[in-house]
Amino acid sequence: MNHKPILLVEDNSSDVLLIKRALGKGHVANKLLVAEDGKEAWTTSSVVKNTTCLRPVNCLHWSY
Amino acid sequence: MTGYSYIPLIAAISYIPLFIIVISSRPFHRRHLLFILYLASAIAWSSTSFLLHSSFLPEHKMLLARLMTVAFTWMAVQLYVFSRHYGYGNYVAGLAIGYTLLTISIALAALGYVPESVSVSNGVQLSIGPWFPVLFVPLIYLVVDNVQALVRKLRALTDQVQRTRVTYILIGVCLMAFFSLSNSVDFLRRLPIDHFGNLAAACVWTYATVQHQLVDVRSVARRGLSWAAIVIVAIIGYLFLYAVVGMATHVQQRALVTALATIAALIIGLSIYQLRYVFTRLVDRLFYRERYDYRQKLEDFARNRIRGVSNLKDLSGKLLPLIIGSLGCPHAYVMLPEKSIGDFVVEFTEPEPDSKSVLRMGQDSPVVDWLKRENKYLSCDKLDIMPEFRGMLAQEGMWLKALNIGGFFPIINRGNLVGILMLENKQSSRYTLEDINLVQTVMHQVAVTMEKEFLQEQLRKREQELTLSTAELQSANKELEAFVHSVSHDLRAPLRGIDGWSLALLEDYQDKIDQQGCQYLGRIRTETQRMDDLINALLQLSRVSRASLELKLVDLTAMAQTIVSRLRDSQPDRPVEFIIQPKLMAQGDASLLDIALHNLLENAWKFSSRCTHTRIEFGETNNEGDQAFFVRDNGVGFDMAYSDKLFGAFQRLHKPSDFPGTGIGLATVQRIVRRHGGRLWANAKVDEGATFYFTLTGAV
Repeated sequence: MNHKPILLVEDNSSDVLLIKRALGKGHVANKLLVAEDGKEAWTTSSVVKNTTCLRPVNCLHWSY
Repeated sequence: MTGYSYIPLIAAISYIPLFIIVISSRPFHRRHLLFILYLASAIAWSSTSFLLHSSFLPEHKMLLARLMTVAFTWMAVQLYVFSRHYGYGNYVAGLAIGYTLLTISIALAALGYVPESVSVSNGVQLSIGPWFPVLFVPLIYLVVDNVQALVRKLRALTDQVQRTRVTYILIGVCLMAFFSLSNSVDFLRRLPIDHFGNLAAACVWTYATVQHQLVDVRSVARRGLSWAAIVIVAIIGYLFLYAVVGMATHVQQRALVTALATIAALIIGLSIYQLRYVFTRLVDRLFYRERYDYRQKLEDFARNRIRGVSNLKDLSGKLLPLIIGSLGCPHAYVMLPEKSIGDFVVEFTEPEPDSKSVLRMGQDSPVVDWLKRENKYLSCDKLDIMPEFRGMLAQEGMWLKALNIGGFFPIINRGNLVGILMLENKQSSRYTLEDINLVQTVMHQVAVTMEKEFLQEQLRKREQELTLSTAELQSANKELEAFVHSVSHDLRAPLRGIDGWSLALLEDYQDKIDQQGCQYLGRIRTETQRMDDLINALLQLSRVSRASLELKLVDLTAMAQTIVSRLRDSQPDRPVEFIIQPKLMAQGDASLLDIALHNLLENAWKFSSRCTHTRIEFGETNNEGDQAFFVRDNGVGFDMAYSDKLFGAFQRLHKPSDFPGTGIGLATVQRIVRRHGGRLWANAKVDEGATFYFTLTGAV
């Protein structure tokens, strides 16, 4: 099991909660970091050590 | 040789000024040509008559008599042709008789029958002999026909100017006819009495021309002088060449020298053809003196520099001094319409007056009407002659008299009279036709320039409007894009929440909610899905309208086959027969055509779902010469009465419970087809299926 934290960039609190719930239901125990926009995401990810930037996951199918 | 023999000479000379006037008048009409022919024949007649009656060429009297007889007939016929032109009705018979007479007289003279004998013992005595009636009777016919036609015309005419012109012609013709009658008496024929008629006619017509066409003697003299100068220089040059050629070749034969000199003169003459302008310019300068420079400037201004000046005020300021200088008129005025009432009042005076002029002309004044209608120079002389000016206010007439106005030039722009140029009479002389033509040309140029300026202004305005509306359109487009973004993003976020939390309820609290509650939650989820579909369809519709077209050759057959396989995958158990015509190609945007074709085939698939044996066709047909594609199914079809609602957004012809859908699909197809410059239409019958046709003539 990978213990790296998951960074979620989402400004809709309802969506954040739904994602947290989904992760819990899927027994994903990784730490979840939430950022509301790109700037915040950048500062958050630089705080966490040994960050390797994985490809961004667009977990929702609601494509524009 | 008696004093009488000089009468024809004087007559011939008196025609020369007229000849010069007519030949140098512009524009040149057919009547000018006819008049020139007449003048030439009259001059020929008078000069042969002079030679006959004089003591010159005593051994050639018979030849001169023959020439004179022919010239007389020619003159009579040309006079008929020219003056009959102004008369009433057509004159084919007269023309035929006249030219037959001319031919007969030439033949008779050439054969020596006419005149029979000439004796010079006691004055020149001509005897015409037995052929006299052959020549005389047709002449009588011509005279009678001519006078009758002119009188009839005179009765029918109402225009005073034309009446005067016809009257003068009639007087001239009558004088000629009366004096020519003397030819019928042997005794009188001895004296050239008939040339009194010629002389009198010449005087009458010269007077008429000078009086009523405003040609002054100075311009005639000017033209005559420049021509005389050219002729003299030509003769001197020719003689010089003759001498040079004679000396250079040492040839004794005069004929050869003459020929060589003529050829050389022709070559030199043609190569320095431009020389005539030098003479004209020299003579013009001589005549106009200080006014010559003004004329040149005025012509130059009208031709070149007028373009930079746009409004009438600037123009008046620049033109008036030039006009005054070139015409030598004491004062010139420009009247412009007053803004409030529209009456014409004097706005500019050149040179600056001591007191402002009070002249004012009502917008309904007959002068204004006339200028508007005729668009040409109006001489103040006409105000007294023509009946239509009788309605002019006495006040206006008095003002005109007080200012000693000579005439008016209209300034017309777009069919409206926008200004009037008035000239004060010259102190010593009248305005000549040349003066008037000059100003008229300039005024015409002014009108053209103003028209051009107007059109350019119009163009500028349109361009501005266009730029403005383009900017508006761009901002509207941006707003639309912002709206689309907000719809896609902001509107969907709560929708996602509703769907997500409903799912959470269903999953986490299933044991606490009864079955009906679960069903309701399920409904909430379907409704949110439906709304999401609608939003998606709307976004697609707006994207279809905005996306830029990338045209290329598209394989519609392959496209249709891909779509069909996707449809089959969605319902693998459904037996559907697809007939797709091979090798269907079209010019268009691949992604948009894919959306359109997808919508059409999906509709066919959907509305034929209740058939036991579904058949869907995609092919090509011919619609009035254009290539048209069609998608045909044998499904439920629709009532053609509602076909106008078919392509509107959110318009559905079937209940959602029967066939699900957003009601936007065909609207999207319609937009795609229109953007390709094509047309979409349908043909259907209830329960017998529907066929949708579309053309793709080329992208717009």
